[in-house]
Amino acid sequence: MGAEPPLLEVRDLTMQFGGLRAVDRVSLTARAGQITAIIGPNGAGKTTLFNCLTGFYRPTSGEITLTHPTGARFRLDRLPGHQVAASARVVRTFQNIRLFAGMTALENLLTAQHNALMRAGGGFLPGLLGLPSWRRAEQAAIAASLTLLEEVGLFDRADTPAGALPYGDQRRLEIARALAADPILLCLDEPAAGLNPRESDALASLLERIRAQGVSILLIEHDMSVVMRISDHIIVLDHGTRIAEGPPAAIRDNRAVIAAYLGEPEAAA
Amino acid sequence: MRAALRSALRAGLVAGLVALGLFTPLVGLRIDQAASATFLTWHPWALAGLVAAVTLARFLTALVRIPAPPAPPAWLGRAASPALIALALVFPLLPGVARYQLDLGVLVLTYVMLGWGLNIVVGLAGLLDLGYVAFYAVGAYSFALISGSLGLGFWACLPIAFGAAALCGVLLGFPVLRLRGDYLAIVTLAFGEIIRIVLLNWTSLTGGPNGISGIPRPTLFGLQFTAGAGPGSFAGYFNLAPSALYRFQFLYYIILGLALLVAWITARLRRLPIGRAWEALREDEIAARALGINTTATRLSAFALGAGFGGLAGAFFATRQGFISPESFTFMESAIVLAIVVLGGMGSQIGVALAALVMIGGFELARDFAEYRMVVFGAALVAIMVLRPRGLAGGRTPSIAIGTAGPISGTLVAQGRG
Amino acid sequence: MSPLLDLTGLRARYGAVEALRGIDLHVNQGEIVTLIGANGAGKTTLMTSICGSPRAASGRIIFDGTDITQMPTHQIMRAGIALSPEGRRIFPRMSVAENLLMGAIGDATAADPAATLAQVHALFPLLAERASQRGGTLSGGEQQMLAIGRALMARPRLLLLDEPSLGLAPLIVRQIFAAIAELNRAGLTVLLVEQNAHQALRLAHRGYVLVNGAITLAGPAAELLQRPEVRAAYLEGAV
Repeated sequence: MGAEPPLLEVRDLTMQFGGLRAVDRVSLTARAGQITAIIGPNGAGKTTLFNCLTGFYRPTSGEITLTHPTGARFRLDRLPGHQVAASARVVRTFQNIRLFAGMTALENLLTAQHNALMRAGGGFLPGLLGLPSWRRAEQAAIAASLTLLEEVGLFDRADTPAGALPYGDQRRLEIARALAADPILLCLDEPAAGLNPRESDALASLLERIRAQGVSILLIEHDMSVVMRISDHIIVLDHGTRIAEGPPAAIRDNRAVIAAYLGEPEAAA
Repeated sequence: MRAALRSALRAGLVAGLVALGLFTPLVGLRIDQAASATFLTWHPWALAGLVAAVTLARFLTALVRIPAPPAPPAWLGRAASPALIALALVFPLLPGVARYQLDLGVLVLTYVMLGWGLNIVVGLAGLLDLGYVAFYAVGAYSFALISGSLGLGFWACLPIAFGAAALCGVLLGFPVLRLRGDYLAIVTLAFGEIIRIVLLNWTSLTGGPNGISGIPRPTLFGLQFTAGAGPGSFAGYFNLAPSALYRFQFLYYIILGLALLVAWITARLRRLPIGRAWEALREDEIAARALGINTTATRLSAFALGAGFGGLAGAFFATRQGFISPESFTFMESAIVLAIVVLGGMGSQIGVALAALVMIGGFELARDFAEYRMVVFGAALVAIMVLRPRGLAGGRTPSIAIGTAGPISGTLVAQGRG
Repeated sequence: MSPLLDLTGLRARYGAVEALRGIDLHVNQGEIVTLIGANGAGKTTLMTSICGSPRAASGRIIFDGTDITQMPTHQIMRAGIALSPEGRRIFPRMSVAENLLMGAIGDATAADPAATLAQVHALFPLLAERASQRGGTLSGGEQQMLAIGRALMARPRLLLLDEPSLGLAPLIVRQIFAAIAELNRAGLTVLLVEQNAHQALRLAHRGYVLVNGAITLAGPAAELLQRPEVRAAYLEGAV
């Protein structure tokens, strides 16, 4: 635990939009093999932080370092947009669900394996000519996609256009697609939004299974039943700064967090 | 019901008034000549008829919702492509097909090929390109110039035309990387016009408005398609009676072959990562980037390949005519090709082919209507867009399926904003 | 007294699918009624169908004695109904203040927008703070507050809320539900769709359960809270 560097290290990250300081010198770490949750009131800067981590915003200042188990290090604040997923293997989902609506679930997952397929298939020409090396790579990608679909319970929907899937299925498909891109760190932006308690429960179990397979997870979420159940570590943001950090039990009882975000515990229903 | 009738009546009357305003100067008043005098004639009946027709039509469409026509059965979709290809293959050999029909066939196929080329940019990648004619022109002129200076024939220049046009596609792609939607459309339109104006004014290179003539005809392994049957000619080699028709049949098969090549490559590419990356770009560029797809390279490749295919069509155009000038490469051509792609249902190969058939073939065949040709044609286009707003083949066929995947409804597929 | 909103035999299609299969539902003046059901059951279609889009294929919608089934949507929204839609749908390039003023267009009482704005600001102080910020730059939860505020600007008699708690911090969710309760006490009638079935049923007077486009259960909210099938399907996880 102690000696190896953390998977993700954020140091003094600041994101300024004109007069608005959305993220103000935030530092945090996330360890490999864990589920780290980022919670906080609306407008606290959580998604802005995500966008900095995943190459959508260039931070105004600060450093974001990702260290692979192999030792390879990446400065996420400096990588061009698509390299965050392609080289650093940090893949995200979106608050508003960004699936390829006109493509089937299977096609969505195959698209996520773009880079792997290009490498394994030998590039452009073997594909065009239908050479065996390409066909083997394609079969492997399809098999991997179907396995993932089964994992999230969407195997029978493989040929359904993503835009026609019900909301809960779309959320799961987006997670499956992110997994298909073979991430080391999976960043989920409010994956439980709009899910009823039963679906949230299934989601929590899915995330635990993903963690068990060695993928680290960074999670923005408002659904405390999910957060408290599965998180190893929680970071609380408010008005762009970190106001608390620790394991679920500590955060649940933290005065500042209760005042700013959770509210007093209610009587049992 | 009352309210619906009233509002429909209102809509009809408003449309009638607009029609009155529009058609009075166009149809109601006409300038006629008799002897040496010109005078204005008044045609009340034609005007009244038109206004009444418009009022009635608008009243009816406001009152009655036109049900969407039922989707054609699946087997029709699958059978359509092989059937059309077979028809295209035997077309020149059918009885009654003479020079006029062959010329029409060649024209339609040229636009089909252009449509398939633009389909990659607009239909698959969702990049709104209004200047496609630029690549058509680059292909034609590069062939004409190279063959003129280096003496190379059609077949040798074909890859050069492809390369030159593809290069232009990349050159266009770079400055517009950050543009989306309307802005992309305007800049690509400007690019098309720039190319035309350069061709018009760079007289020393391109001959300016006089164009370039004497462009070599294509040969079949060195055999010429001359009118006679002398040595070195097609008719002579195969001991056939000399006929001017052979040249046109040859041209027809060349463009058919080129078009089918483009279609095949596109179909293959749709199944490859690059094709999926194009479609991902159209559906959601941000998500595509978040998955590690290099969206810059993807955009440029779409522009390049689409442009390259346009260049091939351009080279063919040059060899078919034997002469090219900037007049043939106006914005109107870009607009027609774009209309074909949109009418066909963006992304659909068969749709584009049908749309080209309807638009080019239909326009030509509507000659029978003489001066009403445009009206009939326009009305047909409007009817198609009302009945099938997503294009003739409005659905998207998935590039891969493990079960039986039917076409995906057009309403789910993103229209792309560049 | 006849209900403020009365749906009888409402059928509607969403594309090729029949999303609503004969809905009978009513909301009395001064009530909070909640609609619960799984994703894809048709809750949002029901909300938007009341507003005329998709147009009902058959059945009737009566609001305050008037048959609004075939009324154009923009007229419905100026007749005293306001909607905070699923997905928020705020105007991204307009400022927060402009978004809110747009909401006042639907105000049938022609009250002074400034006064209503003050009330909305009192409810959501954040919207006052960010008045000149562009709507698109707000966070998801802030946009949700804006959407609700915008609906309130129309001073509606019937407020339709589609998933108002989506993406909101727990504290804010409580505040919003408290605000809804207070607005209701002041005379606002509310029809509420919520995934957070727990809080919704505690807030509401009555509830309906929607399954695959049809109502399967209806009754006082407190009763529904206790029914085992409701608890199993919508209120409990495995925990």
